[in-house]
Amino acid sequence: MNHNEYIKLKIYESTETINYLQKIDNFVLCIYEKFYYYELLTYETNKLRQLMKYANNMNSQQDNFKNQKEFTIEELSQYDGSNAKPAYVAVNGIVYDLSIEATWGGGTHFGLYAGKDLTNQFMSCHGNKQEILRNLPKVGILRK
Amino acid sequence: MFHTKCPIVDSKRTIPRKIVDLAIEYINQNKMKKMNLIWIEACGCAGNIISLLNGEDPDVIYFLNKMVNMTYNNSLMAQEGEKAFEKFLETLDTEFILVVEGAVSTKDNGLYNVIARYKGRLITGMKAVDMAGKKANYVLAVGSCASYGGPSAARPNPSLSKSVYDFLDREVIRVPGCPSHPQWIIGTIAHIISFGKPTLDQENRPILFYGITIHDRCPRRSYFDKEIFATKLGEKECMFKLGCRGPVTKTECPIRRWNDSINWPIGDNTPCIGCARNGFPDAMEPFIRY
Repeated sequence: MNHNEYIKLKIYESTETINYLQKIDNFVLCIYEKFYYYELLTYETNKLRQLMKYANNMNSQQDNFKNQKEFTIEELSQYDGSNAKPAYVAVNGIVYDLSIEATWGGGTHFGLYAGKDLTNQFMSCHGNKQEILRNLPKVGILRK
Repeated sequence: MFHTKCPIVDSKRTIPRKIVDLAIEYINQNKMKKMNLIWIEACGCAGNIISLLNGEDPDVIYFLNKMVNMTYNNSLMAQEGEKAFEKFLETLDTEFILVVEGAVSTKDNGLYNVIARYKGRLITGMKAVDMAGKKANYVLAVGSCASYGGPSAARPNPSLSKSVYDFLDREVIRVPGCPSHPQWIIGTIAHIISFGKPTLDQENRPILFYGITIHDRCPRRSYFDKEIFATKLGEKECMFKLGCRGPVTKTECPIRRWNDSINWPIGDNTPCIGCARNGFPDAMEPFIRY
């Protein structure tokens, strides 16, 4: 089974679990039990959402980025996350949207600011964890 | 109310009471052999001892009467000058807990943080931490300076301050926070005197208090999940876009809260500045952005 099929299987399992939990949640009487199943349901829904995001990203990774928006460094610097503007960061020539990435409060992250090409900084901190990038929404490429 | 369907419900209500009673019982058992405690204020602002005095349930009087025998602290002890430092030296030969607040200033052999003058010699904070750190049964680094360097070691760090964790070549329990919450300090010490060392995480913080991020228990979390954000201070929505550090800071502020549990930063409309986190304050800047 390759990685793609594995993800599909996981998504299938997750939808099954959600259906099951929804049924139970409808029928239980005890309020605490209801809360318990509701919590499980929320957890499972979040999991499914993550999986879908992951699957979508996997597809878009194969896309040709030539069709995507191109950013120059000057354009990129507009998206610095201040005043509720989007926070975009370029890594390895790809521009990622970090606007709702929890560790990037206000478009800043451990002394780094959004709106820049942060390839070197990324490599020095997360160089061995490329999968971080896979889960981030991509918005375009950086024009050289 | 007795609930027939779910047996957990009834016991759930009494569990906290049982744990509280157990803690009190253990502390009463320990009364006869109270452990000594040295509290050194090194290169810091005395914020943590002030925070300790603000403790409630248990308060600092209970802490000093029932839990430990605090033999040395520059703010609280009655003795002065050489007499005070003699107390410090006497305690070194006993079993004791060492609490350090403030970083260790190391430039020029620690000369920028002198805590005593004994027999004509200046005793630096660095020397005192070194002396006591070698002999202590437990070492607690209380506050962000002692735990991680904090404001004392912030750029450009003219005094070459280091955290106690980096300075001492031994196990140091970190109780960070700027200041540390009184209940985190008293709670950690209560655990030590009752059961020994608490369970620590990778950074040597007690999981009991530093296990989950602020973001995970934030009362404004639902706004974040629905992507509704405050655009300026004073709004009731999630302050993530203003530079909130809740998602990268692990403490239990949202449920413990401060000043006798009256309020806490996010409850008072200021974003979290990550004061209990490694890298504070340099890596947590800007504290607010819009």
